[in-house]
Order: sequence, then C-alpha cells, then structure tokens
Amino acid sequence: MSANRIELEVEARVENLAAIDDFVADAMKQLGTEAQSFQVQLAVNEACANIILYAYSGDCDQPIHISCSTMGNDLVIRIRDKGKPFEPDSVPVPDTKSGLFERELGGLGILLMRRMMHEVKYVFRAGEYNELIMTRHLPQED
Amino acid sequence: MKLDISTTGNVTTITLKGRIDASVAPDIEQELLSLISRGSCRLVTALSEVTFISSAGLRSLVAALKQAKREKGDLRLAEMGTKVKEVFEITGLSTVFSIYHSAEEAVRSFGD
Repeated sequence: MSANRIELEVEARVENLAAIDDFVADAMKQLGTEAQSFQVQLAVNEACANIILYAYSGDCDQPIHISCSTMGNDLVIRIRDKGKPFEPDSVPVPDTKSGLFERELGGLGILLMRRMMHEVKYVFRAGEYNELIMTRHLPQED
Repeated sequence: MKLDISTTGNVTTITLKGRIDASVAPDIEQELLSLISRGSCRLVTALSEVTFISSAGLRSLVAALKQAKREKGDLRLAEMGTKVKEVFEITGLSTVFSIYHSAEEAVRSFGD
C-alpha cells in the first residue's frame, strides 16, 4: 500500500455499509482530505448499496474492493465488484420537480453520486470485474 | 432499530438516529407504515440525530409520506441538519415534504 492509496475489501452485505462509511472517513483523514468526507461517504455508500442490491442481487460473500487515493488535486475512489455489470444509462434521470405521487424514486442514488463527485465512470472487464471510478477535485492549496 | 417514538395529542413523533441507509431503511419504512396502519397518520420525523441519509433512506420516508397522505394524514420533517438538508435539496424532496425548524413546531402545525 503506498502512502496515498488506502484500500478495503469487504463482503457484499448491507450490514457492512457502516464499516465502509468508517473506512472512507478514516481514509479521507489519512489523505488529508477530510473536508470532503460527507460527499465522498455518501457517493461510496450509494455505489456499494447498488452493488450489493443489484449487481449481486442481495447480501452475499462476494467481494467489494474499495480504494481511495489522491492524484494531483484529485481524490480518486475506485470500487470493484464481480457482480452483474451495471448500465448507468439504463437508469432514467429522476425528475426532481414532479409532485409526490407522480415522482419516480429510481435513480436518486446515481443522481447523488453524480452530484457529490465531479466525475463518475464505469469500466467493465468482461469475466473479471466491474469498476466504478469516481473523482472529486480537491480545493487548490494556496 | 434506530428510532424513538413519542406521542403528543394525536401526533406521533419519530426521532431517527445515526446513519439512514440501505442497511436500516427497510426497517424504518416498515415501522412508519406500521404506525400508519394502526391509525397514527399524523407523523413528525425528527432528524437532528441523523448523521447521514442515503437514497434508500429518502425512499423510505417518501413511501411513508405517500401512505400517510392516502390516509388523509401527513409526515412532516423537523430538525434537519445542514448535510441532511443538502441531500433533500439535491433530490428535490425538500419541496415534497413540509419541513419545520423544531419538532415542537411541526407537531403544532397539525393544529387541534
């Protein structure tokens, strides 16, 4: 593990989301980026919940691998799983202005991920793993 | 279950605590729907002790709000911290719920 790359691997279970949140908070501290913790924790929580509930179709002993690192002025989060590939474009963008009973609630997690992080990219390695790469630009130091 | 329940007149206040994500949201939704099915459809949800809410938590609150409205009641929110508020605003749900500064104010808003 290099000084600016911190990793965690856990089984894909919703009960592990708290440990994942704690890991992200701790990693942000170690990387000196704790001011970004809330946004990154929320994005990672949404991503991992999607992996557990949809890519793996529920709690299982399959892995989720998370790494947090800094590259220049970017914080980079990589999340790998071995579940069903995910097509983000297949999820409709939620209408955040519709009324209560007209409102579709699918896609809110992806909306939050895209709002909390500056770049969200999916990579599929057929037969190997899916990787979500999320980047957040860090404030420039004076 | 990370919640406390109290009653003032015919209004039930649910105080949620800690992280509200996919690991606890189904239980919270079930508890809220159970309260409504037992006739408590005037609900206040106090969020001051909520440190984190994900889309799963939002969906649970919206499901309960819809059910409360169908029963001619309401689910009103109170004591929302800055970060939780940001999540409601990004998702547009701050316009769907009635939001109050304090739980007492939210309870009073139901009138007699």
